[in-house]
Amino acid sequence: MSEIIILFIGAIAAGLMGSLTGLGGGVIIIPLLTLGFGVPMHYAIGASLISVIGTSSGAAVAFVKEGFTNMRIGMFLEIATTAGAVSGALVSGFLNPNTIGIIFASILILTVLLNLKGKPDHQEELIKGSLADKLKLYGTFPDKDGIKHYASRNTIPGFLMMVFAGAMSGLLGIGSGALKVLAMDNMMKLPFKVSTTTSNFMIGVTAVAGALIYFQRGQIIPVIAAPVLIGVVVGSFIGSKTLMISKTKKLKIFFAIVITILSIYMMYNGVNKNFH
Amino acid sequence: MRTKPFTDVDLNRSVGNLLRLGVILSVVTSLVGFVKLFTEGFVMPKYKMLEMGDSSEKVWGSFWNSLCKGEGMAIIQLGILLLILTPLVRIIFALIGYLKEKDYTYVIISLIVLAIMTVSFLTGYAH
Repeated sequence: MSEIIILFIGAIAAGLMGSLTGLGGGVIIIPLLTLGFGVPMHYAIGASLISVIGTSSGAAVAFVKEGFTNMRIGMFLEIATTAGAVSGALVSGFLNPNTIGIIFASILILTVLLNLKGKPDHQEELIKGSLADKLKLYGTFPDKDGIKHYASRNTIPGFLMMVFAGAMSGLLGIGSGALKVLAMDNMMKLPFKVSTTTSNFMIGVTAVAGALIYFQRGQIIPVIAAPVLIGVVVGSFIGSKTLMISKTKKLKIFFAIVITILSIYMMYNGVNKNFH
Repeated sequence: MRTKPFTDVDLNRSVGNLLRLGVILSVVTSLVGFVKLFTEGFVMPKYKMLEMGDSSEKVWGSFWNSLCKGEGMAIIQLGILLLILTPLVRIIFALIGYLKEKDYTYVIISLIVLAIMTVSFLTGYAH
C-alpha cells in the first residue's frame, strides 16, 4: 500500500504546482508518473485524464456560480474539443511511449511560451448577422462598474484551434487549458475572465471523451488513477487558495524555468527511448 | 410548481450542484474501495504488471464480475466511472435546460456533443 501513499503525495504536489503555474495538474503529473515512478506512459495518461476531469468539475462549481462561465460558448466549442479528443486518444493507441514523450515535451515548451506572453483583455461588440450572432456566442458578466457585454469574433479559426487543443488532450492526457485560452483570447477575442473559466469548464468534458477510450483499452488502472485523482484535486484546491499570493512576476518566471527544464528532460528521455 | 420561466441562472445553479455532487460521490466511492482493498491485503505489483484487460469486453467483464463480488478494485473503478459520468450528465442537464428555454440551436449543439461522446464510447468498445 505504500506505493499508493507515494502516488497520492506526488499527485498533491503535482496538483499544487499545476494550479500555481496555471498549467493544470496533467502537465506535471505525466512526467512525475512516467519518469519519477516508472509508470507506463499510457497508464499515466489514463490517470492524468481522470484527474483532469476531477479538477475541472471541482473548479467549475465556483466559476459557474460567479457568472463568468459562458455555457453556450463552452457547449459550442465542446463539439470541437471532444471530436479532437476522440481522434487524439485513438492515435495515442498506435504511438510508441517515446514518441508521445517527445510530443509532450514540445507542447509543454509551447505552453510555457504562451503562459509568459501578456494576455490582452478583449471586450468586443457583437457584429449583427455574423456567425457569432447566429450561434449566440455573446454574453454579459458582472463587473465593479455594472454589467459588461461582450461577443465573440473569428468563430471558425477559434473552432479549429479547439479541435487541436482537444486532440492534444486526448493524446497526452492534459487539459490543454493554455491552448484553449489561446483560441478564446487571441482568436475569438473574449474577455480574459470568460475565456479562462469557460475553458476550465470545457476541460472536463474533453477529458471524458478521451477517457472513455482509455478506460475501454484497459489503460485506466484504478490503483494508479484514484490516488492520482484525489491527490491532484486536493493539491489544486490548496493551490487555488494560495493563488493570490503567487501571482507575482518573479514566481511566474521561476515556474517557467522549472517547466522548461522539465520539458527538456522529457525530450531527452524520449529521444533516448526511456519511456515504457 | 414554479411559475417563473427557466433561465440560464437556474441552469448554472443546477449544473454547479451536479458537478460538485459527482466529484464528492466519486472520491467517497474510491476511498471505500481503498479501505476494502486494504482489508483484502492488496500488494501493489510492478506497474507494468497491472492490467485491466486488453480488450473492452475483458475490461467490462472483469469489472462486473469483481463488482458483484464486492472487490475493492472494482469499487475504486466504480468511483472513477462515476467521475467520468458527471460531465456527461452535465451535458444532458444543459440539453434539458435549452429545451425548456426553447433554444433549439443549442438543443442541436448539445445533441452533437452527446453524439460525439457516444462515438467515443463505441470506438473505445470496438478496440
